[in-house]
Amino acid sequence: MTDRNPDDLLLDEAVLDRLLQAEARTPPPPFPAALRARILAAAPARRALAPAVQWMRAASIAATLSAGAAAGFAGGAAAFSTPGEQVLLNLVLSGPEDPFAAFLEESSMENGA
Amino acid sequence: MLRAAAAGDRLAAGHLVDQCGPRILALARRMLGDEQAAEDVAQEAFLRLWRVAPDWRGGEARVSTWLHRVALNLCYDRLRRRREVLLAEPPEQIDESPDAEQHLVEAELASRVRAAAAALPERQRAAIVLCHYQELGGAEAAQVMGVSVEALESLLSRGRRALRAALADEAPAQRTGEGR
Repeated sequence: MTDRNPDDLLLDEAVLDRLLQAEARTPPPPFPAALRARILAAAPARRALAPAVQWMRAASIAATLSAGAAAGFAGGAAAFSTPGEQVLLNLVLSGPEDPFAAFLEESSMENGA
Repeated sequence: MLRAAAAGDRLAAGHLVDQCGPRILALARRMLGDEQAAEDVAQEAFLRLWRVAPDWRGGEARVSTWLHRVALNLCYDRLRRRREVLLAEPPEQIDESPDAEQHLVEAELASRVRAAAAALPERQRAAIVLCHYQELGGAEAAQVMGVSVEALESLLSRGRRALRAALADEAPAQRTGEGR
């Protein structure tokens, strides 16, 4: 009686590969739309900025605006050429409570009223 | 893409799910043999991805590899909890094509292979599923399983040997099929 090689009782390697390939080719059921929706519902939402970041952004915008306003004001001041306009401008810049009234007073003094 | 998804880009998140979701679900199906449990695993794997997404360091690991690893560990957890193996049965589909009979034979064969794979010890099954079905390379599959490449090869070899024993009676049918 001859001893049989245990490997003789096994499926051939090549046949196993074919079986595995055939099984792998079996089309899987489609990815369920409901599962996709559930996964996406849990996906990160657009995050609101943290308060500190919001303050920094607000401060940055304010600085930009005030710099722009200052530059614009300086440019405008150079365009004022008449004495009356210069007076008005000076009064505005020096910050009286009622610059227009001060302008009228100044004008009337100049006109000898 | 993950960075965009982490920032709330729904389109990027959807693209990630479309790209990786089917493969992760396929892995869980083959490991668990239960559709509902497989869906739960796929969903949980993505929820964990969303949680780590803001701190994700690109290049450290591929998203797909990471998802495979998380899903596989979730499968292990479930298998350990229930301590039983269920066979994966795909939903029945009516096939009216002229090759329906051949498809039926192939489906039956596929079912037997799945049953044999489902009966393997879980780590051998994972090695077979990752390398043969998920088509991961040896290094990536080893990374997913958290073992060395040599250990993976040993698991693969033992798994294949067990499959050859379980499917030994398929050999005559295969030879008959070849003769057709």
